[in-house]
Amino acid sequence: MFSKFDNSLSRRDWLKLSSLGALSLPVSGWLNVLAARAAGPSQPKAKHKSCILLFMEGGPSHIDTFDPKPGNSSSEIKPISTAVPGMQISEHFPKLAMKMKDMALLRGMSTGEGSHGRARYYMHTGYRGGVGGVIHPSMGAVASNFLGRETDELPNFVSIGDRSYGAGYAGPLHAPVEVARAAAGIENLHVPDTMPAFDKRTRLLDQMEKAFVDRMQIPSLEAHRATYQRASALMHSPKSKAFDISNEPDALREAYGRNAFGEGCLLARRLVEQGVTFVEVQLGKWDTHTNNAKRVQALSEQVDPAMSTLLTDLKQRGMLDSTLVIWMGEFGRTPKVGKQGGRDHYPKAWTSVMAGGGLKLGQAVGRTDKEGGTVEEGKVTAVDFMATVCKALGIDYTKELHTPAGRPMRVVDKGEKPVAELF
Amino acid sequence: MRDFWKKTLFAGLCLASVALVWAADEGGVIQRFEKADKNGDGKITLAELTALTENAKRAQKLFDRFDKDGNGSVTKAELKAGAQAMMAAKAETMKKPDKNPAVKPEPEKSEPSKTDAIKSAAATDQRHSTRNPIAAAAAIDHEINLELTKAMVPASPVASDSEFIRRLSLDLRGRIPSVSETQAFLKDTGSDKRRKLIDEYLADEEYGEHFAIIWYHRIAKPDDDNMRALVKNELQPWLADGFNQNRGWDGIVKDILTATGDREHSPATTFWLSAVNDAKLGQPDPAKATAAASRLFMGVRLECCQCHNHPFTELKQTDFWGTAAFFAQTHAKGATQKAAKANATPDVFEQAGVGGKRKKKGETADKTPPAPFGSVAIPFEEGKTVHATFLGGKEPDVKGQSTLRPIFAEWLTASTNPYFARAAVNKLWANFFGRGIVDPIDDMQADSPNTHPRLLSFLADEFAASKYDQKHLIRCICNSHVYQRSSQPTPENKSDDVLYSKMPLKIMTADMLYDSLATALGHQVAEAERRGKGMAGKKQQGGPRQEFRKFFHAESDDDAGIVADYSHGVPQVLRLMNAKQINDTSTTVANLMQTETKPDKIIAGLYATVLSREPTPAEITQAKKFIATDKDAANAYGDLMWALLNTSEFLFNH
Repeated sequence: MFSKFDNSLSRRDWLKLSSLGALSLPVSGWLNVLAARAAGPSQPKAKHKSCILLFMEGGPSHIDTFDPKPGNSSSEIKPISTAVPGMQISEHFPKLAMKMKDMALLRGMSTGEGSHGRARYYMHTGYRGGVGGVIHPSMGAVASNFLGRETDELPNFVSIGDRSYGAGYAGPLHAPVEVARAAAGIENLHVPDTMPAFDKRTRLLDQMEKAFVDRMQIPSLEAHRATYQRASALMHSPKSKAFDISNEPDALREAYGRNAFGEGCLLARRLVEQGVTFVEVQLGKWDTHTNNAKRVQALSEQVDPAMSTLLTDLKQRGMLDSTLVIWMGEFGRTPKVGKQGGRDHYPKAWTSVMAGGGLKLGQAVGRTDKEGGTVEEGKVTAVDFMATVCKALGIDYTKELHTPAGRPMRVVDKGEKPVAELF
Repeated sequence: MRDFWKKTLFAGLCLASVALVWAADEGGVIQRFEKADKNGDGKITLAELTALTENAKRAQKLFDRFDKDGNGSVTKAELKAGAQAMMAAKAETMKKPDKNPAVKPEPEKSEPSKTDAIKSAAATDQRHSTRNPIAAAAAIDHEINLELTKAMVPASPVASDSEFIRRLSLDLRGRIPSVSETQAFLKDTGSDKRRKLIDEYLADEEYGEHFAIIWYHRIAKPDDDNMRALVKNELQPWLADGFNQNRGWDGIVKDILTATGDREHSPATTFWLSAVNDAKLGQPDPAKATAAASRLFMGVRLECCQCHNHPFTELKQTDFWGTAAFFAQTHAKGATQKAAKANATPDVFEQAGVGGKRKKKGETADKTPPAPFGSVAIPFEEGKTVHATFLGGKEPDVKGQSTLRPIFAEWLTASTNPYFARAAVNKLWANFFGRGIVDPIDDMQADSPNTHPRLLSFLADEFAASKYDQKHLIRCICNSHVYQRSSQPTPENKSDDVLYSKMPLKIMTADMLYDSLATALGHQVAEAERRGKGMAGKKQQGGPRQEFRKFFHAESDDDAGIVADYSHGVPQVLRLMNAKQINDTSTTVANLMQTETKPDKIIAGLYATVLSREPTPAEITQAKKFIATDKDAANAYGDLMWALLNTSEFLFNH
């Protein structure tokens, strides 16, 4: 009977939407209710954890970043010591080396998907794509689904970079707000004329909308109304300034790095500070089939200041324990450098990093062999990884969600073993 | 009065008519009830009803219908509710000259084409059906109304002409009608004008272009693996031509499933290029092709049993691989990442004994030995091969054959195939009503809810009998009263989602929104693009349309081709509200202010432009009040149009 509600906008979502109060409001001003709320005293800070995912698109070489192998003759970097005795990382990460007590390395990643698209999907969702005809929600959408607040004027999931990994069957409420360039902020947040003019025409829209909604009495229309409310509230909200990094002190901007990734990390901190649940920041071009050494160095020199400053910044603001920071690609790269001076895709053994989030840090979990080619200890599959992220954020990953076709689907697939050493 | 209905009864008209006449006026119901209630106990028993109707069999049927709780007697309330439901359902049928709705349509009596539009449709129409869509429309109404009566849900009244033209234009051409089209239709006083409009839109090139957009995106689903083989969209114009020439659906699907040659000269190969599952290898994957073919053309999600037997249905893993075996020797040249960089046009061919590297670096090697001709090896399940088998278990004789796809295509498109027509009909139905008769539309398993099984079978038979004539099927649906119902609910049918008591609301797809905004805002570029010389205008893949589509597109959109629910998030809404390029109202407002001087007329013009209807007196008052607050009239009218464009009434197809 309610099959319609089970689709992209679930019945549950609809109930949440109506709990915004849109349904019970008097004739005028529904569009500005949230705006009024936004302009008022700010809501209490989120009690749940937040997550910043630094996604290294293309697949960074583990050997040339966080799992150096001096014994591997193809290795083109020198390892350096870190704040944790016995743990070494790439020489291009001097600042991160000093932050090692706030980080944990998962050196036993072994995920089995070697094609970019499918591997990205797999690492973002914990499910293999294109099988079973279902589009799975990405990590950010899962976090938004379980931890997000519907009544906040800020979105729950923001994706900064070229592409985003969407909500899949979790529905449009949990889809990311996309920011192509951090420095430019969110698109179309500002009116072409003035806010009073905008308010004037939205009042007219209010009146028109009311008549049609009353006549039709369809939940979808309430969703339209609620989304306009949220957009309008965001436009009015002082919190929308979170999207504007230009007010940050010059010294801090320099520390993060004046490039797209550094600015993305800074924006991520600003958003999490205002209660956004999940922010993904992308850094591309890690697909180093050619000219591996130089390219990895250049990319590392962006990661090192941005990520280390992010950890420092979060810590100074007392947010590090409640914010999980993840650094990962879709796979690692081959232990051997090929003829073209590059490394190829390698999902069999690689490294991801977790920081903050109240985890047990300052350790390396798992170990690869001398060449960095096989996992000898502490193997972590894509499913294990997804379960670890969920556990760190306090999400019950054994819960089932329902696909539009009504098929029950666990948040994380069965057979999961979250990395015990972190908890 | 009583004599009249008794006579009607004996004349043997259908049951619903009896109830209708019985219930012709609400007050009369009670009066007649009291007459029937011989013993005056407030209930009618079967015996009392039989005495009244003097026909035991009919009395029994009638009684069963009204006695909802099955306690052997009909109370006043039961009678009233039942009669109301029947009355509403029947009201529409009675308006037609054809009093006796035929369940089986008959061939149309030769009726010469009246307008140029129809003539031109017939000229290009490859299979202008001789079957009668009006009779089939009546059959649709009959089946739908039967279920409504059973459920005692009254139908909403007939849609107004404004509602109708807007809905039909969106459904058949993918955009709102222009203001002049709307005004001409509203002025037309012909009693046959809705039927004519359906024919006119079917003859419009935009019809084929619109359905080509839908099917292109269902077939070509770019991902990281196949995107380089799909960089050029040659399929969409090919599909548009097929739809506009009204080729049989069987022919189009056969071309797709057996396609060979390079993409430029054989655009149907796009289906196989979309099945490429590794950019480096550039080979169509039989598993990916099987999932797509079964979903698109059979209404079955075979991929659910790719790895294991389906937990909820009869489908087995071997059903999936039995179909995949037909596709296992389809290969491609020039579909790799490397070839794409060298600007090669990919080429699809079918040949036995051609092997491809299927192992990816860093992955466990697939040690599966190659399967013999006519079989496919299940990857990573050593030694497990499956013969080419039709879904349902029959194995074709492949001896002496060199290609397998034609065997599958022949089987699939045969008039006796249990999947083909039903899947097509169900998908097309969903296009108009936002949901399939079986829902979900691509998962037509025995246990999927089927709200109107007889109707689905009837339409599938009609489609097959018309030689898979899509325009005919659309005429059948759009001429029905069910399609022409208002979307506005009544208190009694408010909660009905599945019985078609009213037209469901569907949010515009990204493409519909793009073309409708262009129509309302008078974007010349879009107009030129649509009317592009000698080509299907909507084919351009790059440019603003693609960007817009990417931004507004709902992920679930492509497979279903329907988006019933609201699919926009905050970024989309921010763009609709604040992006100058998509709500620049100046052209439309300036034009209107030039031709009209009276505020009432300008306001009416804006309503007709955006919502395809006239404003109500209250809306005119409201708008005038708003205009008066602004010294700059053009600015105020611009704001009014902005508000209209942001209403859900604009955003939804209703």
